[in-house]
Amino acid sequence: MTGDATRFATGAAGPLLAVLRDPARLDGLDLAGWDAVLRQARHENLIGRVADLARRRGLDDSLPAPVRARLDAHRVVTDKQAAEVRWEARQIAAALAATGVRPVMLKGAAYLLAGLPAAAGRLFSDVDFLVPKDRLAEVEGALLAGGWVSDKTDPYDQRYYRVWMHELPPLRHLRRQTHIDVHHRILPETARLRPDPAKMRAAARPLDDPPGIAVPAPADMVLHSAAHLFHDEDFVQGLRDLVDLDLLLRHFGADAGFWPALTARAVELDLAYPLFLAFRHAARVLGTPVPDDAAAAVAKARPDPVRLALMDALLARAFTPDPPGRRRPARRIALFPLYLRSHWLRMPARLLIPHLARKAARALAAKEEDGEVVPIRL
Amino acid sequence: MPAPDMTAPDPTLPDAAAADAETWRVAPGDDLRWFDGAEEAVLFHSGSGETHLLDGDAAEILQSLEARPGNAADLVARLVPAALAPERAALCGRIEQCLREFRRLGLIEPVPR
Amino acid sequence: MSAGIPPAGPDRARAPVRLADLSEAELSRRLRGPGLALPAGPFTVRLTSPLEEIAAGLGLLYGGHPLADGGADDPEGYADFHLRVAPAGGPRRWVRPQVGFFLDGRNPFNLLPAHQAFPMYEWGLNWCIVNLAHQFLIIHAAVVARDGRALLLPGPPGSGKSTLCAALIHRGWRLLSDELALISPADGRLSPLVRPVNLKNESIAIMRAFAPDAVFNRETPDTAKGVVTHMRPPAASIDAAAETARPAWIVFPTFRAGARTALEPVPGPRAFMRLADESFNYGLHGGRGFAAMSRLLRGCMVRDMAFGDLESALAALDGLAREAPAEAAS
Repeated sequence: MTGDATRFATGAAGPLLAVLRDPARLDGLDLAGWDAVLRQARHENLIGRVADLARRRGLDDSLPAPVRARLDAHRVVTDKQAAEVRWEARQIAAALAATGVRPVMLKGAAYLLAGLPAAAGRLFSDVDFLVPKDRLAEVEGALLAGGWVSDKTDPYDQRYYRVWMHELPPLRHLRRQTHIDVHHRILPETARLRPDPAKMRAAARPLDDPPGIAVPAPADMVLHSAAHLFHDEDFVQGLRDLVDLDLLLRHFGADAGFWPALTARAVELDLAYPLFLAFRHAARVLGTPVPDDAAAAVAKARPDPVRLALMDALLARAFTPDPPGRRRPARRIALFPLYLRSHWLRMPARLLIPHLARKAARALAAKEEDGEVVPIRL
Repeated sequence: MPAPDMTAPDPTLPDAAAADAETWRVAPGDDLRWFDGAEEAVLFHSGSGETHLLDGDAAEILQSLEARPGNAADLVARLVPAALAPERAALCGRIEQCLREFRRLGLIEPVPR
Repeated sequence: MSAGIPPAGPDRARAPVRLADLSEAELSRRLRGPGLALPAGPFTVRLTSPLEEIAAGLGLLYGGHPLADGGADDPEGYADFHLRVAPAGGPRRWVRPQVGFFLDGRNPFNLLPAHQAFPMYEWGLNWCIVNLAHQFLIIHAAVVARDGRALLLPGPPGSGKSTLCAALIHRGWRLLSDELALISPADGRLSPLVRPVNLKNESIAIMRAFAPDAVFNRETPDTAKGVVTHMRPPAASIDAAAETARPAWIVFPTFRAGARTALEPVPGPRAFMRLADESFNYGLHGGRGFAAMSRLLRGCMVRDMAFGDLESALAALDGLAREAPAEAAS
């Protein structure tokens, strides 16, 4: 399983992967070395992960000053986003309280609220949560009353989401300008795999803080992450999501009983194939320790050799960061960090010093701030 | 969608009249930080991370609740001096309006019964 | 002269290599190849560009700046921002040549006509700082200082702050920044960002008259801001480019032709909100931002200044500067 691992760590594409696989390499890193790591890390949304590794190795006080400053700057943003996610979760819980529906938070928001290592230093994009399909109208009504409106006002977009995708369009809070995504299924309608969301909701763990919210059970968190990363072979979320999987597996996997529960659940939810791919690539790229029996338990989901080789090639490419300063055209990675949307970064050519709208400063009579969201591909 | 009406009772509360009889508090765990001026004050609310500019009256009302939970009637008793007794009804309305606004901004919450 | 590194000798202190120490050929070689290591206040920029406008602008305006890598010319050296300004654009590039600004190989915004290359570098760098340098609380303000104490001039374009700033630095004040106040949340001090001063439209003529010995870049017409140019900062400002300053005065300027110059106090809470509005990242800093802003205001005299002419504004600011602000409550 780990035989090909070395292939991924060599060459100019290597500095970030090298430190992720072997954090001890951070210890002796000089300024030039840091330069290479940070350039790659920024594009992969992994600066927070690198910062966390440095902190855990006790390097904080010995970092070169410019690196210290870079990491501090990033920490300001991730701390703010974490606070925003917590607040948003509280507001969602309050809005839905009267309906009796308890939303199950997903992805990054779930990692944060559950206090998991995967949440450390991450940049969030949206707050996602799962509700029962038959309560969707009620939930939407409660959210509307709480100030969230549909982001897509175009009637075609509305139809696209409601009629074709059978989903609620993304919602935006009028005042806070935060984005939430209400789901009733685990994967999009178009996915071939159809894991049963009711099972995931049934196994969800309620939280104390904030009350009224739940997070998926550990095995389900892993499977949800794997399903999203691998369900559609044409579009890959990239190294960040693989790092999430690695962190979840290491954290939960410390308990020996987790692995058989995970593989059994994968079979139950019809997600054995994504889990097989998750084990395979997390181990190859990041050295995730996967016990042999766990790997064996999902071996049945292994595709034929031709297909497997094709997947390997596509995914290897997708999980390899661009060398610092060079951008390979075939990768499709679009990052929409929450702070760029919620802070309304505007960049018309005319005003090259954009004035970020402040959510923080308001007169008592709040007014809606109009802004133009420009997706930034950095 | 039109902007929410600032003066209307909070629609997420079951009953507007009942809302005014609610006892309010700043959520435990939330921090209010103040930058005071002669007539206005700036408030930072740790829960939401938001910063607000409050006029003197609103600041007084919120600071009173921060010190001790209460309902609208309590606040009238605490803050309206005896000399202004004839204005009580109008001032009570002003206090209720502030409470609704604070609720909308997430600065206060009902005390659980 | 060789590749720019001063010969080491037993009795020669290692003087920083300044951009002016590089020959034109060497400057051009670095820009077209491994990159030029430029200081930008607390940041290091590594810049590459094949464009003559960039080399010429740098040579003219950054001559007194020490190279960020001490002249070492190490292409692998650390930089906060790896930047490139280069021709870009599709099929129209021969008809209407355009330039793009690239941060680490990626272009965050629209292309501009080729003759706007140098302003694009400066604006692009500002963009990088306001979007990434969140170790600071960043306020949209000009900052000048005297005797270790700083005057902030916050304001949107058109308020007159750039002209005031450009004038002040020729009248006994040193330049910290013409656009971006970088405040350290830990100690409230301002970090300099000494770079060419951006001027536009009428300000250009005013400053040419006001400071006839000042050095200006060639003017760039037809930008979205009108005619723009950059002015070289005085040597004294460059020499003090590493010295932080304590904020002491905050003056919101408003230029109104014909107005009589007057200073009015601004109540604390109003000043707070106005500064937060002029800040790029106040909200990001959360409670620490609130504390930093509170400390800033407690330590400063805050005024609105309407002014109709430059000289009386300068006189009013000098008068203000003679008053000592209350000591900052930490």
